[in-house]
Amino acid sequence: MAVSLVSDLALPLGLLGVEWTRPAGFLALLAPLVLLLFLRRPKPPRSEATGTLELWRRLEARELSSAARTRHGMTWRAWLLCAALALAALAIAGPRKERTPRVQRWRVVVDRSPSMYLPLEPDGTEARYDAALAEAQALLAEAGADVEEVRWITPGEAAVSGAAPPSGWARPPEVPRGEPRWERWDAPGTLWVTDRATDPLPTSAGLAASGGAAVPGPVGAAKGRLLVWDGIALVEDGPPPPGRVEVDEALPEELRRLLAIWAEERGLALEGGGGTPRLHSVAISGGDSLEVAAGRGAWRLTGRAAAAGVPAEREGVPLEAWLEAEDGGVVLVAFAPGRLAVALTALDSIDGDPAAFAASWAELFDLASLPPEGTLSLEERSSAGEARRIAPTPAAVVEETSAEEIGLEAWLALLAAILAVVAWSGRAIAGRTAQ
Amino acid sequence: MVTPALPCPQVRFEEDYLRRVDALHARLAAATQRREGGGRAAIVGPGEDFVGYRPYSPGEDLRRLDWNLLARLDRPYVQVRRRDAEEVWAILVDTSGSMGVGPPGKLQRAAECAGALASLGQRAGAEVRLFACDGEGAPPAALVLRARDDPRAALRFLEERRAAGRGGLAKLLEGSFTFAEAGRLFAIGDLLDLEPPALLSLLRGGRRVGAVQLLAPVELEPELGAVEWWDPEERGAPLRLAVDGEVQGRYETALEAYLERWRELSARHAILFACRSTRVPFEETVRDLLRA
Repeated sequence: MAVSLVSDLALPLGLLGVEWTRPAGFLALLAPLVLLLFLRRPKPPRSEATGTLELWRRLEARELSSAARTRHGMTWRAWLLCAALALAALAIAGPRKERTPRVQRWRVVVDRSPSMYLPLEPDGTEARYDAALAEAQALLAEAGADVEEVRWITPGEAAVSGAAPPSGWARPPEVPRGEPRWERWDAPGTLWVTDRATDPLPTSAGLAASGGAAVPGPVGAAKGRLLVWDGIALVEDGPPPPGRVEVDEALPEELRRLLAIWAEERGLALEGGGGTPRLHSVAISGGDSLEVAAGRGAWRLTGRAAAAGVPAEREGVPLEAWLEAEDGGVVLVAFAPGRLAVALTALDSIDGDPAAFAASWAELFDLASLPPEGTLSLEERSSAGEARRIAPTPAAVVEETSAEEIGLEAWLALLAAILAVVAWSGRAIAGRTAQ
Repeated sequence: MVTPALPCPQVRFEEDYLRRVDALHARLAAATQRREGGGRAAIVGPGEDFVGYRPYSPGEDLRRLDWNLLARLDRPYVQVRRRDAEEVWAILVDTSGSMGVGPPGKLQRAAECAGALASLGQRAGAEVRLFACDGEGAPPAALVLRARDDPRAALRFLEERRAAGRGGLAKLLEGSFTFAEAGRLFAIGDLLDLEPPALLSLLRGGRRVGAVQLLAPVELEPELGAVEWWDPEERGAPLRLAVDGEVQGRYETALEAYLERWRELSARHAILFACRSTRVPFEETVRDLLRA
C-alpha cells in the first residue's frame, strides 16, 4: 500500500517531463528526512572546552538557561549530506525522460495480379479484390490498428498510409502485375491481401484471402484466334483484340528487326499503331559500357553492353533475368509481364544457328508479352479456393533508447556521490592557518 | 559540579616523528644554503667566532655590517660568525589545562614543535633546556640535552607531561628558572595566560626569542549551535551560549584583534612569532617560525 501511495504521489512529478520507472524508490526519501529530524532534534548544548572563555564572556551574547534544549544549527556539511541522500533516493526511483509511446505500425501487402479483379462468382459483381480488402480491414480493426499507422504496399506503386489503399487500386493496373514476392513480407506487423491462400502460409504475417470460384473466359490467342476457356475445355473464338509492341530505338538493330518480325507474326502493331500495349521494350544505356559475350543453347553473341546491366527491378516491378554475360556478372536481358529490358547496346557477332537464335528470342517475346486485352491465363481464371483469414502478429515495440545516452538516474547518482564526498571531506578542506 | 574531562590532555609521538624531524632539518638546511650561500646566519648571533664574510642583504641588522670593509671596497658585507662557546637554547612548553583543548590537542602539537626545536638545537651543537610546568602546586620540570645526547630523551620527557592546572608559561616565567645563559628562547603554548609585553622582558643580551601560539579549531572556528563553554583552568560555572552567525562573527572579530596584538608586538621587537591552528603539521609551524 505504501508503494502504491508513493506511486500515486509521484504522478505529479511526471508533469516535469520525467517518468519514474521505480516509484517505490521514493520511500528512500525517508532517509534524508530522518537524518534532518535527527540533526535538528532539540538537544542540550554541546559541551566544549576552550581557552578563550574570557573572549566569549566579553561578547555579551544571550546566555541559555541550564535546562534549555535547543535545536542545533545545521552545518553546511549536514545540509550537503541530506541533499546527497535525497538525490540518491531520486536516483533509486529510476527517473527518465518521458518517452512517446511507440505506435504499432502495420504493413499491408496487396496483390494486384489480374485474378484479383475477377468476381467472386462467375455471375457476381463483387470482385475478389474488394472482398479481400474488406477482410483485411476487419483483421486490422480486430488488432486495434491505428489507421494512421497502416501502410499499403503493392509492387510497382509507391506505398501509401491511411485507412484504405488508393481507390485507383480497385481497378486493374494498366500493365498487369504479378503477385508480390510473399516470402519478403513474412514478418510481424504485416498482412497479406490476396485471393488465393498462399502456399506456404505465412508464419508471422497475417492473411486475408478472398477465395473465389473459377471464372471462365479468354485465356490467350493462337494463330490469330482467341482461345476461350469455358470452364472445362479451350475453344477457339473470333480474332483477339488488337495489340501493339513498343520498340525502343536504342535497341541493337538486329534485335529491333527480330522484334518487328515477331510482332507481325503475332498480328501486333508496332510503335504508333493501335491497340493495347502487349510488350514494351526498353534499352538500358548510359554510363560505362563493356564488351560482353553471352549465349543460350545453340547460339552465342558478342557485343557491347551497359556496364551496370539490367537492374533487378524497374519501376517497382521485379525483372526476371533471361541472358547473362559469360563472365557471370552482368544481366544483359530481363523481362516481366509486358516488359522487356535490354542492356546490350551493339552486337558484334552472332555465332551458331541463326534459326535457333531467332526462335530463342521469339520465345522470350512470347514469354514477356501480355495476353490480349481481357485475357487472363488459365491459372488466373481457375478457382482461388476458399476464403482464408489469419490474424497478423503485432510487431514488437522497440524501446527508443540510445546506448550512448547517459540516463537521468546516473547523473543524479553521480551528483549525490559528489555531494557526499564534499560533505565528508569538508572538515579537511577547511582553512588551517590563523594568519 | 563534575568537571568534564579534557579532550586531549596527553602527548604521544608517532613512530615516524623523528624521521619527520630529520626531513625538516634537511629542508631548513637546504633553504639556508640557498639563501645564505653556505652560512648559517639564521641561527648565528652575537658572541661567536668570526668565520668569514658574505654580501649584505637589505633589511639585515646593520650592527652586523663590516664598516671597514665597506669603506675599503665601497660594498656592504656582513660578518659570518660561528658560536665560540656552546650555545644554550631554552624551550618553554605550556602544559596548563587549556592546552588539553582540541582535537587536535594543543599540548600534542606543542610537544611536537618543542621536540623538533630541541632536535634542531642539538644538531646546531647547542645545549637544549626543556621546561614544562606540571599541574597545580607541582614544581616545573626541566630536562637538559647536550649535542650528543639521545634526542629520544626529549620525547620521553614531553610524553610524561599532561595538560592540567593553571598558569602555564606565566608560571614558568615567574618561577625560579633564569634564562640568562640562553642565547635563544622559545615559548610554545596558546599564550592565553600571557599578556604580549610579558615576552619583552626576555629580550636581553641580544637573545633571540621565538613564540609559537597554538589554538585548537574549536577556538579558531567555533561551530554554530547551542554550546556550553568551559575553561579547563577555571572553576567557575560554564557559559552557555546560542552561537549563531552574528555571535560567531563577533567572536572571530574579537579573537582576531587579540591575535593581532601578538603579531604587532612580535614584529616591532623582532620576536620570531607563529600563530597556527593545531590542524597545521608541526613542520610548517617550526619552518614558518624560523623564517619569520
